Amino acid sequence: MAADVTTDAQRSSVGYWVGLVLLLLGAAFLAGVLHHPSPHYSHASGVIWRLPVDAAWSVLRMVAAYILSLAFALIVGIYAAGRPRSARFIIPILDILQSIPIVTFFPAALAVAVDLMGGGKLGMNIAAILLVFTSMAWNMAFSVYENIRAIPRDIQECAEAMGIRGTQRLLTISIPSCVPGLLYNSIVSWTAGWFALTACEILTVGNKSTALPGLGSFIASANNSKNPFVMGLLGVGVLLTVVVGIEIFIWRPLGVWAQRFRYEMTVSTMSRDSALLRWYQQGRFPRFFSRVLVVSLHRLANVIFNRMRGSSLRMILPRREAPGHAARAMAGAVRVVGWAVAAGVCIGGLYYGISTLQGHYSPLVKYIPLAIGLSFIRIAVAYLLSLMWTVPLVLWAYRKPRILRGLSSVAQVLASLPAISLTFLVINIFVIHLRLGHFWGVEIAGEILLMNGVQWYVLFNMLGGLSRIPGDLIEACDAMGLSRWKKFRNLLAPAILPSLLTGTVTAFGGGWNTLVFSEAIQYAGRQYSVMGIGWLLDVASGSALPGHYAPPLSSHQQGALLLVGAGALMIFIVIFNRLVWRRLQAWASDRFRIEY
Amino acid sequence: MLMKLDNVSKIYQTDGPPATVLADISLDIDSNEFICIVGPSGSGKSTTLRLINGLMPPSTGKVYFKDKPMTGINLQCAMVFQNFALLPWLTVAQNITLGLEARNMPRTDAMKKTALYIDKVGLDGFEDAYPRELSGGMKQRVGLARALAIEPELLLMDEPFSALDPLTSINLREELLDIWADANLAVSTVVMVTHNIEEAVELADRVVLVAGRPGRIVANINVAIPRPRNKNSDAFTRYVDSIFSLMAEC
Repeated sequence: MAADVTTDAQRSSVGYWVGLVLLLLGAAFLAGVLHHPSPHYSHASGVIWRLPVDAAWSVLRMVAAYILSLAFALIVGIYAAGRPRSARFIIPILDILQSIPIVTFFPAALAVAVDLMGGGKLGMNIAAILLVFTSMAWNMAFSVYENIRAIPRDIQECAEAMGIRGTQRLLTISIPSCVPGLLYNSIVSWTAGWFALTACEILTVGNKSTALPGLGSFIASANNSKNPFVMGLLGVGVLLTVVVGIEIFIWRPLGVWAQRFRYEMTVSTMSRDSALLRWYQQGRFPRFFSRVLVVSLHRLANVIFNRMRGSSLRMILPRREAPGHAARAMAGAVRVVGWAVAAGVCIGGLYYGISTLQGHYSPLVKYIPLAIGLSFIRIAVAYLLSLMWTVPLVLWAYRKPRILRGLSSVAQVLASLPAISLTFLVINIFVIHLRLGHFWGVEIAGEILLMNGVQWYVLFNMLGGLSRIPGDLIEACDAMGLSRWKKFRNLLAPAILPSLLTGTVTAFGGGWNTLVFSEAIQYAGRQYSVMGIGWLLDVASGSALPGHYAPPLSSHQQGALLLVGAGALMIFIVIFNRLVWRRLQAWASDRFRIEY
Repeated sequence: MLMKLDNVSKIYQTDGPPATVLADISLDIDSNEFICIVGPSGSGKSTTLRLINGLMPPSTGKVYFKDKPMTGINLQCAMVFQNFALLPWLTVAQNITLGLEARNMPRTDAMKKTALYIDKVGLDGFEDAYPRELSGGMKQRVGLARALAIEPELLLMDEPFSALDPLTSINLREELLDIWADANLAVSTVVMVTHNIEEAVELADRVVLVAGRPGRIVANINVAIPRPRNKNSDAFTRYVDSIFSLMAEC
């Protein structure tokens, strides 16, 4: 998910800490402004014959969130790439946002936002779309930023020399350079979006849950229905069908199409071809459809751009000439407003943070360090288990392009399964059938759910690293007659190490995201939980019970616990990323870089 | 005869229609011969080289090495690549030793051999440098040393000088000829792919012209000019011109 962080972003550690503090205060501000109890709504159907309609609703929400993410990624990515000084703050904030599990503690705040809008279906849908957006947008913005900065120098110089600027530069150089990276990251984002869907379609706050009709809420409510096994299987089946359909009809043809945007100096002999793509481009119906769509979009764009005379575009493009008086005054005003908003958020955040915490101290707060430690161990175990099966698999498959492509498709589909969709399976196996007892049964069941949130990122990134090994290096090793082990030690292991480390960071991020589902499992009216930060956050949002650790919490205590727990988790993750992963990544990408 | 390609074709299987790159190539390679394969881009020169090395099997036809049909990679060959193909995380010495270790040579012998060939290509003092610290010419010297160190019976070169600047490539060409002529060194037979016709006439005993789509052997030209060859001589110019006109005809 995470693209490699560039070196100057690594250097901007001041921006990093400032970004972290801003985010924490912003979260407190949002939580404070929005926090008040809400009544119970349910729009979820949970009825089998409505399943296709539910699925359609979910797809619509995903599409809306994706369009939002795409716009966000292009605007922020292009803006940051053209302005190194702003990038020093934007990039760290994006980096934090993509490594913390927003979905785990944001729903509570948003549920209240829904309430402010009257609890109507529209407000709920907007909230759900915004939530899906938070699991889609960051990696895409990163990818745009990095692709723009990676435009080969000769092409940039050529554009300058030919006087290609402004809108033309945006349309002919900047955006096309982003296409391959953006496509790959779109697929990852959709996967993350499906994974988060259950959490986004059910907003829980203070013992009250609000559900929207959709695939995610269907799957989530299946666990508590009369026949959880059948309903769970049905929900997963429909989800898989939708994901596979999108893969076949959209991502595959788009992947073939996106090849033309690569800056590649070597000709690859394996050029891919797609019959579907040819039909999309040449078929009568697709051409009619696209002509109508493209022509009307083009007209619209012309009207808008002529109105604004490119002023909005100029804002996100690198500046060339010295700005005039009016422009300078405008920029100054924007800066003042920006600082005022930031100051407001800071003061408000501090105020709400303190007032939420004051006098509402829950006995559970003292368990937070232990909970984070236990959860970290669980993720680490899931990560090691993932390595144990992915590394041999990838080594076996690395010269078989068809198998590799198949593997990445399968991984992508399975990674889309929300953790909660598998609970019916693991609880049935480990707790009900094998009778492993409450402790070991739930621990193992949770670990398996956790692995589903971890292992695919490891596999994804290893496959990506493998595909980037230049062909002539492999040929050189073959021609020297290196044995399998020697080839692994001297070529494959060093070459995939940088992407494996990137995969590790995202895998741990995926793990943190999964914890709220894997540490407190609701199944058939019962709760199976283990001590951990995921369970604590569930308690804080009211979807799990404190058990024997504490008496039931008041809504103020819940708010305080949510704020402290989420804040502590965020700080832990950021410190760990800075101190461990970033250093390892910097070392690996310097030592094992392949450069010609 | 060292090597023989007998009616070899190569067809690439893509998702779309299969692409025939080489059609019915027959080529004999004698020991102690220096062969240059020339031809326009996309005529299958590099594919021919990979068939000789056994990096890929032919789709039809047979490849013989010393009268035995080849199966898999021929470890008596060594290859020099256009873009050097050095492992960026290994030092110069480690890159060269790798191929020797693959042949189970004892470590001390491998080190000795590595030192010898580093000296031969003039890289003394750069044993512990990483490829990214070297210039293009020096990188290709490492590539050459790596190939020579395994003392192959057949040295294969895939456009070895085309990624280098002219002056560097002139120097390296001369050194290559010296190494080839050096009786103390094992390498005696060279097959080189190039699209530079002058380079081919300067180096080769025989120039093989491959052209067309799919690629076929259009001509075999023996270059009967005594070495060292003078690029400005009439004979040299005549050879270059005749190959040019042959290529233009296809």
